[in-house]
Amino acid sequence: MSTETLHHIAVVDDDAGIRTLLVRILRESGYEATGAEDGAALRQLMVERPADLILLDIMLPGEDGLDLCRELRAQSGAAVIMISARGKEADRVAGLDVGADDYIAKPFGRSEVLARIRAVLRRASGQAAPVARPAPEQLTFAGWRYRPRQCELVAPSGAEVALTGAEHELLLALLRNPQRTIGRERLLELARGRLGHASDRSVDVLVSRLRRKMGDGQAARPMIHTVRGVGYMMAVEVEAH
Amino acid sequence: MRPLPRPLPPGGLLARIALVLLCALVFEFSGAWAINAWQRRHLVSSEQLRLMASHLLLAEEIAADSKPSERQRLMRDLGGSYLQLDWAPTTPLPAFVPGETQLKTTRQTLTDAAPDLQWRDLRLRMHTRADGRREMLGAIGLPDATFVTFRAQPLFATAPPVAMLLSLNLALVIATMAVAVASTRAILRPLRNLAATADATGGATAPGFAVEGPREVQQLAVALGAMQARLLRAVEDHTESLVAVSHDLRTPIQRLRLRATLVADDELRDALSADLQDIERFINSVIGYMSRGEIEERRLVDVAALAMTAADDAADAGAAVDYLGPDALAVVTRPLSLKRALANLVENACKHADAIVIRLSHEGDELVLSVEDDGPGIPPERREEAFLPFHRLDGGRSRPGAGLGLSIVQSAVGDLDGRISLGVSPLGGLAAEIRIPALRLSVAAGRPEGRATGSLPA
Repeated sequence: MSTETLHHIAVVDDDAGIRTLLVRILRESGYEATGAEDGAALRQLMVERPADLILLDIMLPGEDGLDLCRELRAQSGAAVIMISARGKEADRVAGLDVGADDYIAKPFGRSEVLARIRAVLRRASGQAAPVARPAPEQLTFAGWRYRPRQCELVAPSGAEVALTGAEHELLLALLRNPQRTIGRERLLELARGRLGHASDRSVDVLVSRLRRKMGDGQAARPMIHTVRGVGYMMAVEVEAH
Repeated sequence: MRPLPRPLPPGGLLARIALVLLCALVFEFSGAWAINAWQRRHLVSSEQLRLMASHLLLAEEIAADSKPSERQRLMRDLGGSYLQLDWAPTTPLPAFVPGETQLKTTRQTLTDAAPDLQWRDLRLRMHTRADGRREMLGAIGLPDATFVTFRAQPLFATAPPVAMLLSLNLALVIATMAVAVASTRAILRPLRNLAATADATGGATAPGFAVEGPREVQQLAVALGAMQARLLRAVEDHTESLVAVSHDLRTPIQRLRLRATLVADDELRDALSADLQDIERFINSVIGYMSRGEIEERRLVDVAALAMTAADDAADAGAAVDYLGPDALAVVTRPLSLKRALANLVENACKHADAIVIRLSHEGDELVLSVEDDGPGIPPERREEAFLPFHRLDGGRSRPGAGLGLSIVQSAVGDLDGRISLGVSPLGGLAAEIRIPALRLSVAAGRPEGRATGSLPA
């Protein structure tokens, strides 16, 4: 980690075991971490030592994690990753709807949670533009529609097109930076949060899959443009709503 | 408005069957009576014969009292529609014809009605006309040995043949039987409905028992309804507790997973996380099988992208999964069910094989998705068995999983109104083929640029 100041991460989970373990793992991985068992403890913590990122369990005694997230969004610039035991599509959408940056379903592993944290922190600091967050409701391009929170891609024909998690990350990154080249390294970092084992080739594989699904391979002017030796670029106009 | 009358009077089964029996008997009786009356319509009644006798006697007296030259005209005038009279100097009718019993009774009736006739030379003969009707020819001798001849018709039209009478009676019996059977069927219909409802209970649907029909059947319906409710509640409780337990297990598993990463021994750590992954997979399949939830709406979906995603998800997890099929295939279907079916088939294949192929094609109005592998396959005689929940063909517990994979696929394919079959794959292992009815929108190797303007086929 090349950060001068350590990122401070708050872990909000009512299960003492998970809380302590997460705090320990985060500390071992070079973060500063503090646990909080509920909303009240988190508020206290945010006053004493504001966190850069909060791992927030949706199911909390008393106060709901979603309400807490909404409140955090209004009051602080801290990034939020929601944790849910349910792992349902509806939960994920609800989490992202209240402004969470990402969502992770229980049970998750150490590498998974660390990758998500890394990706969210990088996104937060890299763009350094709180205006850009949260992701827009809908992005349209060349007749296609993409709704990031629902992870829903709709073809010009009106047919829903399924994507894998990593493909979603990649597409969102490309769509949020239209006409701009995104380096392979950066795309790889995004994909790593979703892939078990990402290699340099992974990005190329992901892009070729995306192209195939979007019928972009045969097109004379592909939507996803390859910038040789650097990375990829979304070469069509993208409208955010 | 008056309420509609009930199709059947209320009451017990016995009363209804007795009513049907009574109706059948009355029907049969009145039918037989009607046939009998119709049959007798063709026979001469004694009343008519008596009338004819006096008519003949009158004719004989008039003829005897008149001049021979007048007789023919007088007789012809005297005749009516049922009795034509004439005069002839001689007759071909013999004086006596033996063996005609009907004529004997007719002669007897005639002479009984007009005793004077028995002293006359009365000759009778039945005659069948060319058109098949029968008539009676007769002659009465006059004192001067000439004859008043007569022809009676259609009183002596032939009696209906036996075959016709038999078939009429047979038809009556059949009609009575048919009406009785139909009524009995109507009485028993509520019972059959109960059986059908009982048969339908057990799938995803549990239709209510209709309380209708005879008292005994209504009682049965109420009892069955109560039993159905108890059964459904028991199954629901069972499912809920199993799902709740599985959910609650996730927290300790989460703790274990995090704890396992703190183990210093690499080998032990890997073994621990592999075990935990098995437990997770087990729990997920139990939850997936038990909480099917409601069936989603049909949507326009790119099935090719869905199949590619299933292949890529498995490939990202380290399996060798290939996709063979079109780049895009938009159909109207239920994507979550299809995804569930496909994911479970792929997961199953990953457990038993190294190389896996997902094949997609469209045949007619059917979508054909098959997952083929190079594993050991399933022998034909055990393929049915493979769909049983919590049942594992390898017997042992050597491979991870709850034995629910194919059961989940089967229920998902059922939600899609499709069917699944197992066979041998070109790779030598198992081929699981899903066929679902799907309306195709377009097959495109390359998608048209820009917005689609075409409308959905109805």
